[in-house]
Amino acid sequence: MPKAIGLIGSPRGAKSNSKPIADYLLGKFEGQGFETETVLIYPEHRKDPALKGVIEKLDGVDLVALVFPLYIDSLPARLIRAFELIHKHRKDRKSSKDQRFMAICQSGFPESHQNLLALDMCKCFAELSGFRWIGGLPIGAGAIVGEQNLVDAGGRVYFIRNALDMTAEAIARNEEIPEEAIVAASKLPVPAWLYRLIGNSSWKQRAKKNDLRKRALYAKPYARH
Amino acid sequence: MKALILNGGEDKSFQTVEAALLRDLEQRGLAVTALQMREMDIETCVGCFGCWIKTPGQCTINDAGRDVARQMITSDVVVYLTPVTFGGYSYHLKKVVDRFIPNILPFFRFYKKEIHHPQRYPNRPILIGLGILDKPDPEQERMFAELNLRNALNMEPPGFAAGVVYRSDSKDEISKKVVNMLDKAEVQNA
Ligand SMILES: Cc1cc2nc3c(=O)[nH]c(=O)nc-3n(C[C@H](O)[C@H](O)[C@H](O)COP(=O)(O)O)c2cc1C
Repeated sequence: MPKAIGLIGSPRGAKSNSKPIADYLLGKFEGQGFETETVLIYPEHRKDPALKGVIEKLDGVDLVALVFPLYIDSLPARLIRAFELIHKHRKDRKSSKDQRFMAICQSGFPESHQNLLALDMCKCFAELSGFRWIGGLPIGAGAIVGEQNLVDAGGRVYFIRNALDMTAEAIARNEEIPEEAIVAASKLPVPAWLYRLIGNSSWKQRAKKNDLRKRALYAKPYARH
Repeated sequence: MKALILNGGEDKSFQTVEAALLRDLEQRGLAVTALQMREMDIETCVGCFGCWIKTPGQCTINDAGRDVARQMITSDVVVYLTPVTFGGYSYHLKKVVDRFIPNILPFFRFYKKEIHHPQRYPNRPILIGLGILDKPDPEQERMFAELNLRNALNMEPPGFAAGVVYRSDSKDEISKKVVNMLDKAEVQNA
């Protein structure tokens, strides 16, 4: 039975927007006869020695689907560490096994193109580490997932499910992620101006729960004197 | 005027480049601090957004990462010195770059036709990305330059520049590249 690993690169681990995306995709892979496993970089593998297990697991896998949040225009720090150590382990390794690698990057900002550079970095890593890169999906406004199962989340995440369905079908045919899936992933269910309004009011509400008013959010503890 | 070099190297092999940077920044009258990130035990960001909605402007993790964020925003020039790692920053550098977000605001606004966060502080450092590669690699160099550009969209520095030196570069070549980069980022004499 071929094996697929869903690698979650979110520091928020299981309670993240990345995890439900991976869960949905792995569900599709299971339907195609893959044996699947989810590996969380955080919190289980936060220290270098713990990453050893992940590195070894990847040696035998047929397909890796990485899902992660955009962090300052690139990958979260511990995911970079995982990349560094996986690459070090694999770079001189001789293997004829065909190992496919895909990545999904989702972000706070709604423009999906802000994720493309991080996906290029994943491609670079995959190719330098002996994986076969099969493409990436850029998803803007990842907060829309709300850490919720993608089926329960309903219509607001239709664009993500649609992109994942097309991706899974392509993978079943041993093809790369198709352009239509990338276009679908890049679609926003709400216009950017509305996303901005909703986002701004949600920050205020979250702060209110901590007894902070809007003005307090502008604090400048490190102001120069 | 203060400059901060964040050295994200895995070992001491970046000393020549760091020394060239230090010299050129000091020649321009800046007081320079160089931090060796590999020697600093700093937790990685946990993505809680506490720095925006719980303790605005300050990370909830109480370790040296907090202090580096403060040093960054109160410097006039910040240099990210790093092995170019899959086109981006090394883990040792990125662990503090991720901890920079207390210095921006949570809200969304349009900036250069994209959504970005507004700035928390009116004074921000010039941002320089100096990458080290074993040999020329046009694709990774393109990514590294784009990362500096995208970081600039998020941090709105008064000046920014990125460049790459190769391990085989002579001291003279390194010096020249460093001077060019500081000029491009408009690091003025203090
Ligand atoms: C340290 C940090 C840096 C971030 N940088 C960016 C960024 O550069 N661009 C962006 O669109 N979102 C950025 N985000 C937002 C996350 O990508 C977004 O909230 C994502 O949905 C979180 O996914 P997760 O729940 O899987 O961790 C950042 C978040 C954090 C905590």
